Amino acid sequence: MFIKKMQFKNYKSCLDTTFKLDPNLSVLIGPNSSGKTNVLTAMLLLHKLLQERHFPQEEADDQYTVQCKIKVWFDLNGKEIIFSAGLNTYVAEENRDVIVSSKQRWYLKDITGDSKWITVPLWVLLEMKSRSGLQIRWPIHFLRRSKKTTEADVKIFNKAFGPLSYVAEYISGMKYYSASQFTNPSRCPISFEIEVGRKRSRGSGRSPMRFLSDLYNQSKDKDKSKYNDYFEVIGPSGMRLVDDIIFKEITTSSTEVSVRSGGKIHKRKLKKILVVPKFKIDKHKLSPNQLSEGTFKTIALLFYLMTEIGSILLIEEPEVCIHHGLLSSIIELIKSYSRGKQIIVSTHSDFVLDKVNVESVYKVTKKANEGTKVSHLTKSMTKKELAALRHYLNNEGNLGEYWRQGALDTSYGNWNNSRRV
Amino acid sequence: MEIGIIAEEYSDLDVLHELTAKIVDVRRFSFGRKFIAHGCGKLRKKCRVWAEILIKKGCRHLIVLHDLDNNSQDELRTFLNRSVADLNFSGYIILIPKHEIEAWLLVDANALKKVFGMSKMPSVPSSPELILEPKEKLEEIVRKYSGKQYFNSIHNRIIANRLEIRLLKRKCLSFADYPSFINRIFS
Ligand SMILES: Nc1ncnc2c1ncn2[C@@H]1O[C@H](COP(=O)(O)OP(=O)(O)OP(=O)(O)O)[C@@H](O)[C@H]1O
Ligand SMILES: [Mg+2]
Repeated sequence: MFIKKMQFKNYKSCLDTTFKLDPNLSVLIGPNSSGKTNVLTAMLLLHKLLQERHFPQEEADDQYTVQCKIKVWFDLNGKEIIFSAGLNTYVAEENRDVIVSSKQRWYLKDITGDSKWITVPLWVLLEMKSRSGLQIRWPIHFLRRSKKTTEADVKIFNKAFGPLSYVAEYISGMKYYSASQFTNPSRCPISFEIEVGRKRSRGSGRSPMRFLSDLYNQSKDKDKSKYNDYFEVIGPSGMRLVDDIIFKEITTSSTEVSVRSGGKIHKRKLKKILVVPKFKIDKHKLSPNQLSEGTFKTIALLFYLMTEIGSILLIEEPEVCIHHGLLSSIIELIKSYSRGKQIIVSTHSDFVLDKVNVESVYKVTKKANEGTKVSHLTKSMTKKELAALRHYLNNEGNLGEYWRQGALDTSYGNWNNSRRV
Repeated sequence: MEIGIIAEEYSDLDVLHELTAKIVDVRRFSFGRKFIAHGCGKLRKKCRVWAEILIKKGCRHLIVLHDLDNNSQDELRTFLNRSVADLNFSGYIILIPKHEIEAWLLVDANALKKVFGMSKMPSVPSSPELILEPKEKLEEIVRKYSGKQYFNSIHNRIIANRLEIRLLKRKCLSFADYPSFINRIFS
């Protein structure tokens, strides 16, 4: 399964943006502020819709929300599933998108033969996975609650149940890595505490802290193979980023006291482990905050790349803080993974462009009145342009320098009127 | 001894280094003087200029490594030959793995078994040079027999380190002349 096409309307700079995606690797290039990040965060709205409950609401309640639309064409073994959503959103602190309400519909003609849109929110699909037994009945109950749903809709849904749950699973595996998530290791704690019996330590999102505890948990996993494969890549036999990773564990215990109404005192013994991670490099044992920026970022990125089962990965500017020798390996790794899952990368690096197939490249441009546009690099070229590019790549040089020298900037007659690509 | 290298990717250099170490003691040579093209067009275009610089840096021998990919063997070899033939190297060799350097890594089932911890001996092609996309083939074999993901930038060096050069010489014509080239330099 993969996403073959997307459309965003009125989402940030994506006023009316439609583009196809590669089933394997898509690389987005374009000037600052052209909308690369917006395209990726628009895709993340799908993930949000899956994770949060929104009920259809006819009208937006106030002037603070913006109405935007997403449409996604999924390809499931050659069959098309179309998802369309109208959202009321606003932007909260840290530029976070908040969805207030949504209307989500599906077009499943390739699956069911019926040319009709049916309304089922994504979160309902996710919910039905976690409710065994009720699996099919429950969303149908939801469908019936909506006044507009007919028996015919329920029939369509029944027929499409399997494929729809694939889609839900696909979206739930969407992962986003941005350049800034793991830079600045000095922010990283040098130890952390976990409660015995509890899997996760505190720490939210993709903070350095969260990474360390995820790394620790993976190293303690009964199935060692994932951790071992990961260590083989970053360790002495692979990229030689670290020689060893050591977790020193100190068991501590404390008593938690809580007072109930009526004055009854409740005591609970807590057993905790203080974990002190150390990275061995050239005979030195270093705390995480002593690692170099590029090292820290790479071991974190590769950890999630290799150990999390993701279906679709969005990676922002993998080149940030990375030496070209290492970057070359990272891009090769991303390319290898993209044969098994859909990956979308944004980049400003001509070196990254050198390493990828020209067919994977998409240009992102923005004009004031049209907003962000995404176009496939070679498909948007004329025959002559394409022949010239192929000649260059076969005989003269690499794609990155072709780009840097301005030769990809052909979409507009007068570059003064638009930003350069 | 300093041997100048012109190659497409770092991982190609890694492979060649491991293979060379099987022919001559690793302390006797270094691949420190190199140009990595990161693409075939660039390599063609810059081959001569880079070779000249390698001479200036003191290299007396040169290795040019370029995957055949979809090129014509004769045309590519003639082109690269012409780029360096009249320069003052004591010896040079042009290696054109067919169709990619990963074909060389497909010769030794036992090496693959060991590197990836396979429980069964994998079946490898008897003529790896006939495989059009050896990288994909290798990936497929690794997944099938070990369930692991193959990464060229990590594993190529490790596989090269383990493989039997005798098998490589026999199965890959594109490699056949290399051992005698190295032996000549160091004799
Ligand atoms: N809420 C919004 N409404 C309308 N436009 C917005 C909104 N938020 C951001 N933008 C527009 O989107 C642009 C930023 O786009 P984005 O962050 O996707 O650029 P980018 O291509 O990722 O750039 P860079 O390469 O610098 O990271 C802003 O310059 C602004 O014009
Ligand atoms: Mg951005």
